[in-house]
Amino acid sequence: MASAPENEKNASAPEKKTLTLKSMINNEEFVVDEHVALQSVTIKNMVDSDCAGDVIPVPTISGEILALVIEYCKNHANPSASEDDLKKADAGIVAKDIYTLIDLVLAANFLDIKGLLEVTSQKIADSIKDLPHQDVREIFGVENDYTPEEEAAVRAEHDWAFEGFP
Amino acid sequence: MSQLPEEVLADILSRLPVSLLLCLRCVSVSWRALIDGPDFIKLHLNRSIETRTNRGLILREDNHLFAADLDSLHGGGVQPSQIDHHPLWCQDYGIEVWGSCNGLVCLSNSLDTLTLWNPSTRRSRRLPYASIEFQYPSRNHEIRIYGFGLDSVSQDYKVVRIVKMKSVDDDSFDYEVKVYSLRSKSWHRAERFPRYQSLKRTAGVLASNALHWVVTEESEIRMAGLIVAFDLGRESFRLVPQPECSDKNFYLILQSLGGCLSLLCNYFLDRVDVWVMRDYGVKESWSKVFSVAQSSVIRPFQYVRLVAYSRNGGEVLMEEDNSKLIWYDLKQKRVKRVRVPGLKELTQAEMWVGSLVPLDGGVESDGKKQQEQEEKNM
Repeated sequence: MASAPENEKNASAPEKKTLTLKSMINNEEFVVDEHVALQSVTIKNMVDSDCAGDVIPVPTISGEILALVIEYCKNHANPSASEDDLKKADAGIVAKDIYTLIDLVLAANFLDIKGLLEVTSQKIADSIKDLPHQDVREIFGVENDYTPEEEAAVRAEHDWAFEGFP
Repeated sequence: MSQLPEEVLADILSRLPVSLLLCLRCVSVSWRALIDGPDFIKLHLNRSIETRTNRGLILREDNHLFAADLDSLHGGGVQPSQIDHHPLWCQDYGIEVWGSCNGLVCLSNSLDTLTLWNPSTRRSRRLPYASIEFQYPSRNHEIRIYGFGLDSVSQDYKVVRIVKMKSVDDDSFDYEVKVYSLRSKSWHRAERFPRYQSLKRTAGVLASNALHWVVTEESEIRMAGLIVAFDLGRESFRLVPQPECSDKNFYLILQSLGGCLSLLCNYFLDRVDVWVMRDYGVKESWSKVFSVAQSSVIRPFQYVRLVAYSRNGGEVLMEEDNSKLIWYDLKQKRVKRVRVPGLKELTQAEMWVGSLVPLDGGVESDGKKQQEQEEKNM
């Protein structure tokens, strides 16, 4: 992850290597420095095995989410950023509504970016901490496959835990 | 909306407290299967231990138990709530806490009713009666102590009971050791306890797959003693090497600190040294981690016990003179009193970690089934 600072790199390399990431949802394209994009293990594997063309198509991730992912990677590719700076920047990236966070966690998982997966998962957990299970079910898009009787029975097993919830 | 892959979902849910997870079992059949599954229970428990989250305290005031969130203790004060759902609630005379492991707590009362209890799920299992099988009828039982922990070799939770009998005619004595296995749900006899004159009446301290007690060759435990370990895997006793202390004029208390066996050497009215055995069984690995000078505290204490590290590891929570809680700042070397409103006298403080660990030695069954099984086992 640690890469040489920009200026040192420019001194020897005539041109900075870039990659183009393309969202296959809305065809938005992002040109990023290679060392930024390589924080994604998925992209790194593609580049390492010469599977990456000029444009790397990213399925199932929208431009909006891809922009957040790239912002995260840029922050973490900056060698002069302090731990505190990164913590603040991470908090800014995940200060989103729950649905955006779920898209972001899917993207972090698909692109295999461990740090982003960690902060996003924690933020989602913090966001659902005070919600009743019906809301959580809706947020995660889970179909309720219990019959009303079954659900009541499961609830009755730990009825005390629902205090304060509807 | 796209469904989350199961490992991503499990990772998110493993960051939640147990009470919420119990509600989320109602989301769907597959969520319930995920939350009840042994892999998820382990993931959740390991995360709580690693990140020092989901930790609670059980506080005892005589026969009453109270619960407090350990993380909320940092504001200086804590509002404990009385636990009215513990399994010995109706027979709570002489209630004692005999340790906790992975979210399970071992409780006893003066009727020698012994139960394992998960305060987070409110499930419990009453242990069957175990007779004391001594050959000589003229012996009175003098001391009965317990220890509790997970045997990581067999992945079985075990309760160890040691009973010391003393003759009414002469000075002869004998010990009996029995082990309860949660998996087999029964007691069996174990190797005889080594013939030491005295055994300190404390809960066995769990570290490195063994329970530890302090013993002495003399009839009374006044000063430093020996450390005897009961290996939960082999079910046998051995002595554990102690650090080389030049001044042996201390009172010895055993602890588990951050998973390591720890010694608290109390030099009366002077200081308390805390040692940790970093490499279990290796004498040279004992190192003094900190020392609390009596002059740094407001009022000299007679007795201290370590309860837990703070979340960031910078402070240690201690129980002082069986009556109050204090935070000791390791860097500043300063003591901060923890106010516990509503509790006149604190008799015991025990840390436990909130977990979903079931009490049937395998996969958690539903409430009714468990109750039926418990009744059968009694």
